[in-house]
Amino acid sequence: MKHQAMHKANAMKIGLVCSHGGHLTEMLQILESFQGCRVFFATYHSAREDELAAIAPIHLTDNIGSNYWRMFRALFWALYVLLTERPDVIVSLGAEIAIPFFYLSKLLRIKTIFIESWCRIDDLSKTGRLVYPMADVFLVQWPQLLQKCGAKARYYGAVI
Amino acid sequence: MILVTVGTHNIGFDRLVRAVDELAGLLEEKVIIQRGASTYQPRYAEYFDFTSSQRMESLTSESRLLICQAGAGAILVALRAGRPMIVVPRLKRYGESIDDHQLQLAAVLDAERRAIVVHDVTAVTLREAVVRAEQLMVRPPKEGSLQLVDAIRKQLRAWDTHRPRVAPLLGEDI
Repeated sequence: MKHQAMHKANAMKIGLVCSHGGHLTEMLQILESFQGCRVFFATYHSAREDELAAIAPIHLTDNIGSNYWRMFRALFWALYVLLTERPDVIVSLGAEIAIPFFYLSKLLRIKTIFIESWCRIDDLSKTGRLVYPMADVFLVQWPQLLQKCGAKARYYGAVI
Repeated sequence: MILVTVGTHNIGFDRLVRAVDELAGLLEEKVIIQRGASTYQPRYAEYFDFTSSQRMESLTSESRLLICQAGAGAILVALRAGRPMIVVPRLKRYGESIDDHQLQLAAVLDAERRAIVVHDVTAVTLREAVVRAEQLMVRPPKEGSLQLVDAIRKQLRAWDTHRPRVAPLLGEDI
């Protein structure tokens, strides 16, 4: 029992970063990818925050949207989350909440996986284009989208 | 019951909420709208703004048909529950979205006959779409997320083996 607890304490820590709507629904579809890892969420305040808190520790901020001031504030929030949680890997399915985490993770040498949303078939999201240079792994959910990305992008199926 | 969802976007989708409410006025059937940030006050349909995933899933399974924005969330829930759906893409020109990306998923679902897509959304076009949606082939998803989950796991395992391990502090171990 003690051994198991210690193994758990030493397990990889993964930060799951996504906004609170479809991106979160997609993230919940692939939650079993992180079995055996320590996990925390970083997302927006919403009617769904209690159910997430039941799964893992959760960090919340206000919806950034396309507001530059809120993005600027979110940069400090994301820095706080990364410094207190010290994750090994950040995984995100978008949306713009991924941007501060991916740029800061590059500085802090935290590994990153970005998965473009299932709803992106013909072109990358603005977030996808912005985090592409920062991401260690960049996945898309439709094979035809690979033509619109750089050589780093990969396709390994979708969340459904 | 017909369930209508517009998602969690901080921009409303009044074009859909209004049309669906007018549709509810024409139907005998109960219509429930998840209205999000929309401001239109439905007169015929029941509505609420936001709710938990669990409640959304139970409402979806209670419904016989879903009418939703062409976003990933509601469509994933509907496909999982095996409900026929009518999707209405949010459009930039009405200020419903920052771009027209919802047209992409709508087009694929339409081509695969997994949803009825309505662009010009009114009570009349919706009523017609409801009839067509009843003839949709509702298929559960083929392979699910297995391949993606496996790829992520492999990548994490590769990183885990190269991760510098911090030696346990004296006394903490044993």
